[in-house]
Amino acid sequence: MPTDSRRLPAPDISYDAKLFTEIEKLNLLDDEEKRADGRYVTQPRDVFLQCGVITQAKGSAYFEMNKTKVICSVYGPKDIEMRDEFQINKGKLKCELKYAPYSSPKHGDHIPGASDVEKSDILLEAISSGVCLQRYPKSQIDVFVIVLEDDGSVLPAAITAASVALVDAGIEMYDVITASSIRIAGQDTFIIDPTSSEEFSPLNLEKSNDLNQGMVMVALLPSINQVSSIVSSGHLECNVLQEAIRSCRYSAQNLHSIVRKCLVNSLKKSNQNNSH
Amino acid sequence: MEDIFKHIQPVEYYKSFLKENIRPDTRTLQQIRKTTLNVGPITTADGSALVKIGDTMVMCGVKAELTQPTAEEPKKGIIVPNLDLPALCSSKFKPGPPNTQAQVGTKFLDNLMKIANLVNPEDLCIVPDKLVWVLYCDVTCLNYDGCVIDAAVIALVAALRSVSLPSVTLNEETDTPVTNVNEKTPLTINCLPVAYSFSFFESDHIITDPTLSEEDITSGCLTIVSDEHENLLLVDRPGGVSITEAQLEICIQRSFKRTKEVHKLYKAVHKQSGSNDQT
Repeated sequence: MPTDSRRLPAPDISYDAKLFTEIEKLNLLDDEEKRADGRYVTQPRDVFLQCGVITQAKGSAYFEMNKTKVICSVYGPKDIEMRDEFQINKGKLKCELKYAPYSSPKHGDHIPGASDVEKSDILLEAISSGVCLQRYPKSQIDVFVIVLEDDGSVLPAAITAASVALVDAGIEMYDVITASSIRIAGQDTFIIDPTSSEEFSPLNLEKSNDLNQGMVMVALLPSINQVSSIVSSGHLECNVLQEAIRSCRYSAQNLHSIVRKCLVNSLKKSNQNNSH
Repeated sequence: MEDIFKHIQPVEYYKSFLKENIRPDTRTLQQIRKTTLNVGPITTADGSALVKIGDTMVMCGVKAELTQPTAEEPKKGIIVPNLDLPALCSSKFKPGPPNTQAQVGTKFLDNLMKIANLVNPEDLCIVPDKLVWVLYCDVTCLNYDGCVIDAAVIALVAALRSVSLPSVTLNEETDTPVTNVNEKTPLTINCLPVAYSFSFFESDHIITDPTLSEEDITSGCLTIVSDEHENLLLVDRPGGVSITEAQLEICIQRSFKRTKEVHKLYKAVHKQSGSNDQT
């Protein structure tokens, strides 16, 4: 691990104490087809969404799905910082997704690794389709997301939070972007909105020739029903993938009403404050 | 009209309020913003706390992990504080490595923990020379509106107080640790420091708990850290306009008073651990 000269020296290697306990074998689904937190396979977690939480930022949003907590702030439009990225006809959108060091069971690195950069790129790709960048020529819009706690489905949370923050900032957009992810554990088992233990735990499959195991995430522009990003990982047969994408789209579509309600409430509140 | 005046002539704008002994956010010069403390919001962390002083919002997460001690101090655990001022919290900060202010803040927290002996490193030793705890105390600023250090200290202390370490023993034969998550002992905190920041407007006025816009137009911040027994732990005055001894004395007395109030917060939260409380 390269030493970070701008931070206090820390030990090179440290281990999470819980690694040295006896690990209980977790089953994805119990006998009643319920998951570890009592949800059904098609049931997403309850969502808490609020915008305007960071007063210093132009726009901000806080998104919570039970234990997964994500906060996002938007700055801009402002002058482009790097001269070589200057574009006359449209603006530039920059996204940064960071994990807080205490957000995962193992203490995270301060220096962003490859997976952090990859997630920032996916976030950028998912949001870009929704923002009217041609309205902001020669300008830059910054989107910063910090994951405060990671309990699975971080990317969908980050994408939804980022789009709400962009609207809160008054950036012109075609539509909000909602996202949802799904865990596939066998061709018949689609687990919507997996928690972190569900994202990686294997399901005991009775049929050994069913190799479908993976994750799919879909980001959607709900009002116009257009998909802006699909990320899939793992081994998935073609029809299983298509079915998973369909389920994800449906789940992301359902998030639209929550997002709309949150934005309308925040607008009502700011109107009330202005009239006082 | 008011916004234009504030933008073009911030100092004159502020003076017009000071003449009436009030500040733009309707506080008096001595009034502190509402302080809220919420312990335990992050379940992946061993201890966590969210503090809000007015709009300034700071989250602290403490993670305890196992490591080998350093060769110089084989019987002591390791404590690594870190203050993060990410680009998310203010337009002043750019993404990338920690800027000067964050580094200074981290060193401040490190000095404070050593001076106050907040957590005795020897308490973190499991087997000398082989296995110790390392406490990563990460403070992330989420909204930067002045007095981040004050909020960071409250968050750090509250988060550390909520940490319970599982009992760990070293298996002599395999030389690997064995953790028992069912047996947890809370961390011993030896001191409950509270930081209180002031800034000075043209050597005359002492501004308590400045917001970001006030920090920008006043010169220099004075931070006083004291504990509940009126012991002065740290006085930090990095440059700025010169102040008299009388002014310093006033600030010290105010900080003792503030410490007592924040202690009520600490106590209330400790009683009902994992809940909100505000003062």
